[in-house]
Amino acid sequence: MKIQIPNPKHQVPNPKHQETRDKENGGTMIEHQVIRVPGYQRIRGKGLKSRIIRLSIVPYALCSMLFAQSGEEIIAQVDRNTVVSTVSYRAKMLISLGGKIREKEFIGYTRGKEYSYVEFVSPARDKGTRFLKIGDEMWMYIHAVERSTKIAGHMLRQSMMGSDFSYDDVAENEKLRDLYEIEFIGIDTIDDKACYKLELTAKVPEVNYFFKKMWVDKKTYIPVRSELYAKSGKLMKEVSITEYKKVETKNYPTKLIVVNKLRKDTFTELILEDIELDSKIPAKIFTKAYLERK
Amino acid sequence: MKIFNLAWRNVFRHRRRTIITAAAISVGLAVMIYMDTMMNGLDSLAAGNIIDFETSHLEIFAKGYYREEGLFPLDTIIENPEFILQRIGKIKTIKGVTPRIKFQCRINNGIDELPVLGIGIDIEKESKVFETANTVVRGGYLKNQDDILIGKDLAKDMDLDVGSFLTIITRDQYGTYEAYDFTVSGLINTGHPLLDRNAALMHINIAQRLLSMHGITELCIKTRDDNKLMQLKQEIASEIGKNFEVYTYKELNAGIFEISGMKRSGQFMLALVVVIIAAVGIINTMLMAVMERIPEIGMLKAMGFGNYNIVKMFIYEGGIIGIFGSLFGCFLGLLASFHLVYFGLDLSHMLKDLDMIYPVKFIITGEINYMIVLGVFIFGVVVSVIVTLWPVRKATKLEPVEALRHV
Amino acid sequence: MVEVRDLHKSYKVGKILFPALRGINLKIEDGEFTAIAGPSGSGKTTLLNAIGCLDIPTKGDVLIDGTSIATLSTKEKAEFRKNELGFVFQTFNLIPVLTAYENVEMPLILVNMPAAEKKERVISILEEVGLSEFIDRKSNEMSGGQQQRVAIARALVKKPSMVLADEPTANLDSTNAKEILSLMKELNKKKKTTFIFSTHDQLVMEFAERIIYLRDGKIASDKKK
Repeated sequence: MKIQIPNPKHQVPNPKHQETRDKENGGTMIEHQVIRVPGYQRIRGKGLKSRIIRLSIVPYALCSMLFAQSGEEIIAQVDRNTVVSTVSYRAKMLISLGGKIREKEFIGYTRGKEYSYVEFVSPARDKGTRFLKIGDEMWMYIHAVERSTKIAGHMLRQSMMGSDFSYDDVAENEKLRDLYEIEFIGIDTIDDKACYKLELTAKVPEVNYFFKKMWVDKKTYIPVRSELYAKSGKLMKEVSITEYKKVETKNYPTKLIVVNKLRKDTFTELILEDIELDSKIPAKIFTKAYLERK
Repeated sequence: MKIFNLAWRNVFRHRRRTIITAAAISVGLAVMIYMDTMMNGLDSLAAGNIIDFETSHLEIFAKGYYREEGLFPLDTIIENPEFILQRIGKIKTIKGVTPRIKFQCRINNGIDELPVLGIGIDIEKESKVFETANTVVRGGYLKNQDDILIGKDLAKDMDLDVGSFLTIITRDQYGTYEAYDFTVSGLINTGHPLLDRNAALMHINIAQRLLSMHGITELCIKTRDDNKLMQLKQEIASEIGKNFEVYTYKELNAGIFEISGMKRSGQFMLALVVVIIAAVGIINTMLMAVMERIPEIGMLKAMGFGNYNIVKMFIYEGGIIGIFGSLFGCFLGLLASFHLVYFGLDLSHMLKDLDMIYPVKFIITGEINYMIVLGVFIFGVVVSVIVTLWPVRKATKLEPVEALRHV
Repeated sequence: MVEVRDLHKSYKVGKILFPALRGINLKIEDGEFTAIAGPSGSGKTTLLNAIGCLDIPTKGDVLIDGTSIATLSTKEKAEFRKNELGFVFQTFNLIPVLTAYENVEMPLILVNMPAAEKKERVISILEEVGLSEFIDRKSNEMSGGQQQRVAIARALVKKPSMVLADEPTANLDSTNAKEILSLMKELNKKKKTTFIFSTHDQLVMEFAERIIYLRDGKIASDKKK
């Protein structure tokens, strides 16, 4: 039996909505988006209907705590999938911008959550471009220049290797629980798979996407689909994970497509091949010296 | 008869030499004057465009805003412009003040995206400071909240027209992505490449909403007296204090005016080179002419003319030729310059696809700087005298007999 | 009075030093009408130039009325020429586009004299040389004889004490030459101006009162008539 948790009233931020509010305020600008407090929503009203609804929420809420997981826990599970002691892989990236297609190849190493290293091997003009990420800091090395640069400040907002991502888009994915209020909405079916549907709303101003929707596969805890929204409520990007590799208890995504919903024929496809999980990777790979090696 | 008369007669005696020398000088000077006139026109045009559309006469920023060219940071903004407005309200020479928000964004028509500069404007105050409202060539100015103005050229590049929808994609001051739909209410054609090809104008409060901010990035100030900008800058700076920076349009576009300055000295160098080449040619002619007259110089010496008088005579000769050449050169130069001033040079075809750093377009009209014309005139005379004198020096060193004997 | 003392002058001709004058000693008194004669290359022009301080001697000196030319600076020499000497050359050396008047007027540019007086001087000297009808004629429109007369007028307009004439008749036919020489003789008598000629023209020597023969840079003979 499926437990339906009633959806507390929520709104997707909507430009029209904001307009009315604007007019109410006499045309001044809005301070900030309303941050909703998830979980137990206060139902207003003193009438009987409201009281009944209020009363009936309680057991449902209790059930949700007992049987289903909260949004946070679901995300925690998702995270657990991708945290491995080490990964090494070869990747192909297909970038389409307005129909113009480019292909790139790179190899990568990741250790835990802190360390990752990427080196491009194709095409020729990208060959030798390397990235090193340690914690929150990222460096880039371009073979032609023979120097490494720290990617910081407004550089983080630039496009990564000509794709539709920016550097800080990538970084954000690891801190969802810190940045967003995560609410479990219900069960949805995506490509014949049952998924937990989650809605993520920014709880601090410093996020890239104010609002996200995520569908997490119940069985594999892979976020098979994510929708990324702008402040105005416009859908900007759609991220799909279509393939994964199972390694013992973990499911590691191996094919990812990001579609730009605002621009025709614009997407990035990432395919990970030759994945080795939990193998031994020499520590020196995650050093600046290695990044800058000749 | 005096030495001057003698010199005068000599000039007309050697008609061909005189004409060649004077002609060479004329052409060189005419070129210098014309180029100067054109450069003045370009400068004014550039300045005009910058003042009319981009920065007006002065801009006030929060301190630290203008740290990197082309950055448009949203973390260093003016939070309460009222403070500034109140302080500078008493300055009489200010004609108008308008707030603006400038931010980097992308314009998206569903198929293509282009990076542009988003500019949030206060349409009422803008009209006292900028001419943008007068440059709408299709459609209308900003009316509804979701209206946006783009340049005619940008519209063409992105296949947009009045009534088209477009999305502005940007990141607010915290980095959050925003994508907001606008309707093109009008197309502008200002002559300033920045606004015509690389900018999108919207209501300032919409810009603030997109960027999640209350403040503004700059206040633009127009003054009645554009000759006293540095004074006005000091006056404003002392009124508003250390938390803000004030710049004149020249300081804000130092790069462009530097280019102009460099172009100027480059142009001057070029003209100088032209004149020197002409001078070298003239020297050659003069050398021959003076050589021919060495026996004559000998005779003058025999008659008791000292070197001083002989040199004086040649100075007069050079001066007379120089004055003729300079007069004619200035005449030609001014003639060409007047044409440039009243009819202008239509470059709109040539410059259409050029990505101009220099904010001009279309028709270049000139501006004559009479001080330069005078300077050029004097220069022509001086050059002519030097060129005549230089071969004579050698001749005067000869003994009379050697001179008389000279073939 | 002109005194020439042990005058030497050598020219460099290519690499060879050619001695034109090899020690000249002579005296010429005021008012003389003297010819320095000799074959070509004898040094007569050189001697005349030295006397006229148009050239610097290699050795020796020329004294005019006691003043040693060698001690004068270039400026002083020019002043000297301006005040004391007049020159007449074989090739006339007039300025072609100027009129007779203007040519004769030229030496007067250097003096401070009221314009009216200058005008009077020029016209009167032109009359004296018989060119009163050619006053406004351009010199390149005159015959050789007429031009030489203009040259003489020019030489005399500042009333110099001495006129040096180098081959004045060489470019004239015998009729004109005779006329010129008579004219100069007349002026010599009238104004007491010293005339010194350098010449190889027989005609000149007939008119001269004293002939100094030069040969190979030395005085061969010195005869008074």
